[in-house]
Amino acid sequence: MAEWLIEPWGDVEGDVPTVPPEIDALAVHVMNQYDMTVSSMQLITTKPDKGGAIWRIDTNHGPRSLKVLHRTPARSLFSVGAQEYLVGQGARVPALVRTKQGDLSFVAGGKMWIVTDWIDELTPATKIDLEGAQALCYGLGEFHRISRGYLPPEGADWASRLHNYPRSYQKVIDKMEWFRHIAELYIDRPASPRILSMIDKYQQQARDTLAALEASPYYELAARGETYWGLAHQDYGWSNGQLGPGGLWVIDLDGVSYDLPIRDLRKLITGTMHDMGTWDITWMKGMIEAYHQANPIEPEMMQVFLIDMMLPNEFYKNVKEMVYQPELFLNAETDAMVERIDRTDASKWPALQELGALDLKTYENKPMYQLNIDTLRENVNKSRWDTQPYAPSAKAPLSGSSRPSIGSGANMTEQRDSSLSWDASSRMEKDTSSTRSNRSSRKVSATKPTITHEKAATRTEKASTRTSSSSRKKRRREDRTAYASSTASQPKPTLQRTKLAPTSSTSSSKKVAKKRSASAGSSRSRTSVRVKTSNAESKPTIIHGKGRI
Amino acid sequence: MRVLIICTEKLPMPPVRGGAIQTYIYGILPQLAAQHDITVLGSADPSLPEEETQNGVHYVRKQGGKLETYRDGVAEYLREHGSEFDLIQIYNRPRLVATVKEHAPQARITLSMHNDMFHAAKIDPEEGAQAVRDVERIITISDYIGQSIVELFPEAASKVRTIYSGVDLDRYQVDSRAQKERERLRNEYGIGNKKVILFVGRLSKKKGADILVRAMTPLAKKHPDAALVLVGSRWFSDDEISDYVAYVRAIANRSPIPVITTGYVPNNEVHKWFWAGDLFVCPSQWQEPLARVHYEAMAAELPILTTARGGNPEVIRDNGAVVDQPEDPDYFAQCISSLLSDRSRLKQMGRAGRQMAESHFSWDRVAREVLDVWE
Repeated sequence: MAEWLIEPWGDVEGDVPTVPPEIDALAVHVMNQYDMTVSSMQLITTKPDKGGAIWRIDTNHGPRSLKVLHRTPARSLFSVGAQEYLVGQGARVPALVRTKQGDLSFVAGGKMWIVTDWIDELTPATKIDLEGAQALCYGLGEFHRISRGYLPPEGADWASRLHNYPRSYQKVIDKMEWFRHIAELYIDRPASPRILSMIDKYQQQARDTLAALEASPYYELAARGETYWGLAHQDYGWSNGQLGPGGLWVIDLDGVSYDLPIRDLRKLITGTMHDMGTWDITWMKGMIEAYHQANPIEPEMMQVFLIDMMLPNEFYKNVKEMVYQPELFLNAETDAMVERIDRTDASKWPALQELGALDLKTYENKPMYQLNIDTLRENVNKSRWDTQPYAPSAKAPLSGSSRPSIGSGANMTEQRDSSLSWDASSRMEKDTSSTRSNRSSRKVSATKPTITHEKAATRTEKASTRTSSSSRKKRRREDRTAYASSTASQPKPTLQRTKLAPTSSTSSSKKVAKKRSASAGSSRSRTSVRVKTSNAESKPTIIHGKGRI
Repeated sequence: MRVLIICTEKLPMPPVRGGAIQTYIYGILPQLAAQHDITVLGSADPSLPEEETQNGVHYVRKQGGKLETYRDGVAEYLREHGSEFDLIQIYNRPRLVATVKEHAPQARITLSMHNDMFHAAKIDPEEGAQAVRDVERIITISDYIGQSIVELFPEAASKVRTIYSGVDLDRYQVDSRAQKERERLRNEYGIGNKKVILFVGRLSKKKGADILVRAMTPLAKKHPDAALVLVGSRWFSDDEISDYVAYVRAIANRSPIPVITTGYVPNNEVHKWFWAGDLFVCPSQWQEPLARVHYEAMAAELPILTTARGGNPEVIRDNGAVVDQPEDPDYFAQCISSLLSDRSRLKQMGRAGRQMAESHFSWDRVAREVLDVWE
């Protein structure tokens, strides 16, 4: 029988999630690969435009989740390997259930499927006050720190965005041109004039940001390699980071990739500022500080982080949809949205300046901001910020004594008990009381391996990473070697390959909240273009080929 | 001689799923097989058996996809059969040379290069240098490719030789049947009497489709009766369309000149669109090795406007023109306009192209030159 291949089956999920009957049939086939009896299953959410779905299944081992990952199996294998690695390192991420064959996943219909335990106790952190955001940031820092050292199993893609910052910035610059052309052609639509009037400014911001990145320590940081930095979640927020047993749980790991850790933090902060409609310095400092407590941000990284915030991320993210249906998109609602973005942007620069990263100068009556690394270094090292450093009231087992200390160490709360419970002062939503009692009854930490967090030797090889997309394969080899050598003296090997040790069962979780998937723009290598000659007035000179035939 | 041809890990042979390299090999196989005992080692495909003999050519197929996987399959085959071959010709994968050398040390090795696979991003420079040492000759599909290899590895200079690709002259021949097909297509798409500008290829930034579409607005002033046809590109489909395609579609929807997309056209149908056009435009923005479409346009008597990028200008003489500033849509429009304004010149260019194709770009000529390298 020719295998039925899963393809996208629609654009958006309807009121009730549905999948084609063939996928239901595949789901049954997949469940049969597991040592479990399923009494009922319920489709929770789908990605019809990509071909992904999640079910809650009730089994003789309790509730579990079944998930078909929409990416290619080789790409999904990278993420599944990462998830298993993280569980093994003691991270609060859902543990995978193995098939009867002992595998972590099963491929059917051309896609990878996984089963994890299901827990109901997850609660979103509060979004209305800083405490919630800080909980999210602290948990994110833990996640990043623990993910260091991961190596994907054989046969998996090498999913890395570590070296693509310049390219993705360039893409933003280039695509501003697309937006300009579209707005010009659709000038009769309500949002077009305003967008057109904004493009110069935001394109210039993007150019300045790229120039700042080129002059920053970015290349030195990236050259430390993938396993040094570990993974970024790439879609982290209030639904994929939730409070649960033992602390903050990170779920939906299908899109994880190697990256500078600050990518997630940057998205979280700029997205939050966008939602708030103003760049609130107290929130920014609070969020950064909370993250910093869990995963220290060295000054050079802080610089790159602030540069990444300089990019017109929110303008770009919110107008890029215009390419799909410009006629509809460029409506009055969009006009109001971009007007709001522009207003929000006005508070962004003073905020970045106050973070100490920028010096304000004026040039031709326009404010100009320049990065000031010295101020920045001072700020980070002395933790001069006027907010209280964030400290969760109790410490997760995984943030053990091996946690790297940072400049503001005096302010850190050190507690040795291994069960993390959030302090009552950490305001949580009211309905979490049941969660808490539940949580306290679980012995999450007891069954978890302790973490050996090794701070890999700082390798600042400038290497050939400036050729970004280029020597990826080579880098990968180097990276493996580099990491192996940096951990050679460690008592416990952290390299995990295909055969990962089964982990103790920890409770796992499930996402219910739906959100737009932040599918990253495909990386397209930039065309090398010869410098155009300037004589625009001249008649076209059609030069005939001199080619030898 | 007993000759082994090693294809890439990407697409199967015969070219049931297309591919420029596969089309090239398939075009010259009959002539090669007439003189030598040929085995073709290529990547596996669900629709093809692991091993078979077709038209006197023996096919062996190993799992493709990733080069590492494919290379293991090549090594496995060579361990058993490597000693049977006098000559092994590797297509576009210098990274396979070491494996071939190891398992068939007695065989002469030649390499056929179709793009920039010798670039440092694609092969470790040391491995590249070793591959250059280990091969007897390096055939390239354009001078541009040869030069770029020599720039990286000066020692390759004496081994490099350009053999331009070819085209199926019979299939593209303009005859009465072609005239009928031209009219049928033009009527079907409502472009009966328009000046049809033809683009064939993927919609990608490198290929410059956006520049061409944007050139339609200034072009409309002088040639309101023009139409642009984008062949082989997917506009609407079930698959996720890329943001680039969406962008091109968005600007095309506001073009004063009709922009028509045909969707995917299979390899054995695409010649009909060459018959339907009046001017073939290749707006490539990148340093392209030398796109096959140029030969196809020539064979179909279609004048060519291409760009000064990579190897593309090498096949332009009286059969077309080259745009030296292809990143500027206004300038592009002026170039197109000046050509469209002179119908008789267009005809002349088309005929010159067909003559060039007949005398230089037949598969027979390609095969003869490859055989010459083997001797």
